[in-house]
Amino acid sequence: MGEMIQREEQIFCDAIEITDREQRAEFIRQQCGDDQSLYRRIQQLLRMHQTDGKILDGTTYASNGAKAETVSIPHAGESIGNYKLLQEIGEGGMGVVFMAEQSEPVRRKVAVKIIKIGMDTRRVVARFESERQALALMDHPCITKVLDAGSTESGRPYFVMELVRGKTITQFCDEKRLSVRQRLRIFEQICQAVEHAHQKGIIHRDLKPSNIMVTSNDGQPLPKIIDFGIAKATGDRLTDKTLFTNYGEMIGTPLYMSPEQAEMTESDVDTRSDIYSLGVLLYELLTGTTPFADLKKKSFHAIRDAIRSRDPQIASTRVMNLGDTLEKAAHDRGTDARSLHRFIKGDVDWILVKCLGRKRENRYQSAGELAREIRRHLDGEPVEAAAPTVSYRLRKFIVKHKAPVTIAAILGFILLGSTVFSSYMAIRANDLATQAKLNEQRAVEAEQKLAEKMQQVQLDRDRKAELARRWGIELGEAEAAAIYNEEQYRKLYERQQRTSQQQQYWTQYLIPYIRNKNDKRQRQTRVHNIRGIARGQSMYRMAEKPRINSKNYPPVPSLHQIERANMGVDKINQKKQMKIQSQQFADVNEVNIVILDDEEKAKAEYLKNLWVTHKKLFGEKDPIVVRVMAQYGECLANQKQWKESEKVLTETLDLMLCEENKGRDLPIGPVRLNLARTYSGQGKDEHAEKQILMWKAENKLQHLPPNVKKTLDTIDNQLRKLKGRKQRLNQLENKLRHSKKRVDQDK
Amino acid sequence: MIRAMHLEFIHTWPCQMNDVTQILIRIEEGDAQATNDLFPLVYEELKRLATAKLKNEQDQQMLEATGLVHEAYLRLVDSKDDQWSGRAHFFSAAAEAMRRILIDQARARKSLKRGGLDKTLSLDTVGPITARKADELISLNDALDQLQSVDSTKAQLVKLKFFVGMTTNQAAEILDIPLRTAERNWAFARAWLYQKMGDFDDETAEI
Repeated sequence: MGEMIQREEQIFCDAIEITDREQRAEFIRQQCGDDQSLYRRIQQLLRMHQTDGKILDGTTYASNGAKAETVSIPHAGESIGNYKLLQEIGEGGMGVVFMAEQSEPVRRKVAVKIIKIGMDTRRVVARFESERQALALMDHPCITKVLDAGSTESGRPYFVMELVRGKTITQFCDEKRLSVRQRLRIFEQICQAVEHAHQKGIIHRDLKPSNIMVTSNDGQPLPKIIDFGIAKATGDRLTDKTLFTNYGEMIGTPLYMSPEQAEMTESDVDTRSDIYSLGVLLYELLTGTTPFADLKKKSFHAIRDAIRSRDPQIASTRVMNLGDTLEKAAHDRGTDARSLHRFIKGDVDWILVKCLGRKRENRYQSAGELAREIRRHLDGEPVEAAAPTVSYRLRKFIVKHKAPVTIAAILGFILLGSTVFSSYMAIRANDLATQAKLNEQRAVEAEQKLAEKMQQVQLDRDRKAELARRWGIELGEAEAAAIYNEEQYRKLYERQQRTSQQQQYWTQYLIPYIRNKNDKRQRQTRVHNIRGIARGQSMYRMAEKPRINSKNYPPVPSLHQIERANMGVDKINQKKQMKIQSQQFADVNEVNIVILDDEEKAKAEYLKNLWVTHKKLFGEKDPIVVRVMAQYGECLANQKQWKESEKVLTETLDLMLCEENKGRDLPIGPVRLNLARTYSGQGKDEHAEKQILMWKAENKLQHLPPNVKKTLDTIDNQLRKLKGRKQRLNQLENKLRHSKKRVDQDK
Repeated sequence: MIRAMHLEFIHTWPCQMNDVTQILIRIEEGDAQATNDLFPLVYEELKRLATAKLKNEQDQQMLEATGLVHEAYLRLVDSKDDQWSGRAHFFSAAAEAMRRILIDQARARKSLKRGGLDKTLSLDTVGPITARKADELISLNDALDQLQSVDSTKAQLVKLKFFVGMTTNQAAEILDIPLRTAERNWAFARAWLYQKMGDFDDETAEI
């Protein structure tokens, strides 16, 4: 007896977990083999398993005074109370929905949902009544009201709702091929509606696509959440007993359940369960699958266990794992697979991870918070769910302010993309010094922060492992992510280090080049301004740097001291003096701001004067003097006064390369390039080429931004063309000579 | 075992709280006799509470087994420790006690229907059982006896769930089996019992 019963039990228990009828039948046939009596027993047990409404069902015998009888569902044409059933419009796990006509107190069409599973009708209705007051307070365009509840003559509970004509949200979105952004906008509305209900004290408990209809309202999609208030009234049924006994038949799907709902201790459900379900919904809207969809074919218990014990796959990873359905998912969202992945990766992943936290404390604490987060994401602002790393915020900033950042990038990332550019018009040279100082401080601070961050990332192996666990990804993946971050930090750090150098290249060489290409007056002014500001900054930093970091900048050379002593300048005043210098240089730049291209002559004149006076004051090797000289040379080259520019620039180069100026951050590169320009202007191609080669060698070209490379290539091309022309000329000359010879011979 | 209950009992303590606690501790220590001592105390208390409840509640609609058992537990046992295994012994005893009380009620109901009046049961203890339910309950009780003989754990589970009104989760805890096992057991036991009950019905139909 005992053994027999054990065998029966084994087959029976396995069989009821197979949801597919045919598979189940096949399984039983297989297990029973030739044993007909066993087969019959199992079939009998399964029949018993599927009956409902007998003594052991419902709550307990003792507490169950009036039990729902096993009765049939009404048909269209019948009336329930004041409602005449017109036609069946849907059938769900729990009940069947009719379109019905209400006769009293107003004539209108409504939806009537009749719960078909065996329930303690009286309790359901009583519970609904107790919530009625709260339900009446809900007033939101996206919430469909539950108008009434009662019991049919045969004892089934029913609910009367506003009639919504629409499609379920997933159907709607896919059919209209709504983009991910459009879907997010609808989802935001849903969150706001749920927030509204939560504030009135109503938890939905059963949010899923089939409970969210979308209608078109003036061409705009309007989501409508249905069944608010019903889940609670029918709640206890779903929490324990019969759920297991008859699950295949009576409940829809556990896929949208929160972990605490999956626990099935009903008392432990709060508004944050809805947040979880919203997360599942969002996951499905974006990826086309639910977080645990891979378990769809598994038993109810497997899914429940998974919800309780596992974190879902990161959404963007899931998208890439969709396989055959990926194309369709992307197509339904009006995009291609790669873009879909890109859109979900990052922020949306973070938001989903936060929604789907297994612990409620880790989720968004309200639907409103989630709605705001979605809004932030749509507006391109940083989302709160994301890890607040520096690189993340910077990326967000860059993407949001694409245009200005690009310009800032052209300027050579003037220290962490500060607001220099946007405020250039207002900045007077005087302010430049302050600005530069501020930037300096910021750079130092950022440097420290980055160093700290790098250290933290390196030390944080434990946390990485923890993250890996939480996201359900491989530790390797987490490590890779961390390394990526480190890399970002390092790049940022190096970029800062290079900033001052790059600034020089960009402003002194490239910008004049750009200017030559586009002679729009406004642009020129702008370029001038930028250059002026950048120079003012770098000059100031030249003066300030020794104080900040004497290691990088050698002490002021003795020549200066002698010069200044000669001129009666107190040694103590040196630093002050340098500040004055920088001020003077800033003055030069202010002149730059005013002077336009067609006034190059006046500018050259001014620079020449400045150079001569400064030379007298500080000596010809003084870095500032050399800089002015370089600028003067460039100005001459701009005017194509090749001879003068050659003289000035070669001299400048010599002075820059002299012993005293070694290790100083002087703009040798631009001088070389200007010199190259000068040489090629005069047809001295070999000299020009030599300068460019030197320039390339000095600056290790592979590290330079592509734009600079492009510029250089252009110059190279020009040179090659020139060379070609010369060769051609030579050839022609030879030919000419040749033919002349022949003519002479003919004669 | 069955004794007539009188209203006065409601106002007196049938036993000292610590008696039951002591017995539970003895069971814990492996005292076989203690199990036998426990049952009457629990039964008495539950029956007393049930009678009082039915008397006092005007609509007489519900007899919350869960409430009763927990109330009895709080009254009889001097430990609020949820992990204490003595708790399991108490609830097992309570489940059996509740079963007897309810079966008694059902039988009383049936005898009323037949016109006979069992002297040992007053009307007060009969409660809200309808004749149909009484038949169903008695048939379940018989099926449960059979189940008990082949698989006592499953029978115990059914008792806890059905007569005490525990959730599967709680019952699994008391029986110290995994929830998953409890769920499978319950599904099987339920189908099995229904089948047996159906057999009884068939037998009666044949007769």
